[in-house]
Amino acid sequence: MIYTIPTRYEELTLVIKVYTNSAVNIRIKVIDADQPNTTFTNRDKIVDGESIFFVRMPVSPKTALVYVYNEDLGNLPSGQDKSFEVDSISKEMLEKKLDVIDFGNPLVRSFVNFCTRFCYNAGSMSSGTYVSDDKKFVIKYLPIIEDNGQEQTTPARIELNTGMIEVSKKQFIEFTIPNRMAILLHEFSHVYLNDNQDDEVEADLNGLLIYLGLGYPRIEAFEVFASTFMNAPTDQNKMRFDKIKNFIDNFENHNTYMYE
Amino acid sequence: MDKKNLIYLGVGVLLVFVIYNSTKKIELKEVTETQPDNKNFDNSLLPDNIQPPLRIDDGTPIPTPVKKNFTLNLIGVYPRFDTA
Repeated sequence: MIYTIPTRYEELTLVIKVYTNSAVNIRIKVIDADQPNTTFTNRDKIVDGESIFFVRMPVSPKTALVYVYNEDLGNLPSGQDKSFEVDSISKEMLEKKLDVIDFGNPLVRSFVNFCTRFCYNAGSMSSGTYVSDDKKFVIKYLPIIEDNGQEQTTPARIELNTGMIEVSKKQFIEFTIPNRMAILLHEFSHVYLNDNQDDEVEADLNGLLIYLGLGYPRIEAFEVFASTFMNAPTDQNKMRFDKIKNFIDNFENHNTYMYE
Repeated sequence: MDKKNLIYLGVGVLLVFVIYNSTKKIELKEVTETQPDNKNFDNSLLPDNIQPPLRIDDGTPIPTPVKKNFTLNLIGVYPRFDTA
């Protein structure tokens, strides 16, 4: 089932209430009705009875298309799929925690603005070089990232000496907007927020603090880090994932988590 | 009704209006399979906060990104990439 929701570029949380009679794997996908490759969430969950999906949207399109369907049966029009029922879709205020973000730092202000605009439009922009309005940040949007002719698995990277960011269009086009934000904020943190530029965990947490403070969905951050780590399942990446999970749980519970 | 009570009434009505509008259910309107069409989309019409960033024309010099601070890590002969 696909529903049109007028979101009018507002920041909001979509609340989707779903009922099932048995355990059903429900997929929720929210996309821009007009702009291609612009997805706000794409997640699934086993629902047995009643369940509510919260889709946090710090940015939203003029009109959103909300897909709700049984993952096993595929997307069918209502009436053809009796395995679940969409009770309601409502709009609620977006909960943000802007006080945790150092907006007093002009670099953070500038990059958040640049990164948001890049991530929103990455699905429809051509490859090329993009700069922030103040020319302080540069992103090379490449068809693929390669070293010595060899395609790299990383979706984005930053040159630690210069701050030049490279992004793989091939990978970014498949990502949701929150996925893209989480990745770019991580790269930004390496050079501009970290005490130790080489510290991956410090960059994860510094980037996540901005990401969560802006109100982006928690699940999308888990998802993008998990998929990135799956490409390189090392002990260090397992440790990073545990730290990220701990950090997000603590953020949700209003606890301060200190990075040691 | 005195002026003070009128203000309280106004604030109360405003609060009810805000809460109602921030949690109201949307009338569900189902559509058939549809995919956004790139040809009809003009992203220059987007609000300022989600406008596409500035693209540098091919062949023009690329600005040097800002540096945070000088640190020993900045001394490097070869480019060092974070790849995770």
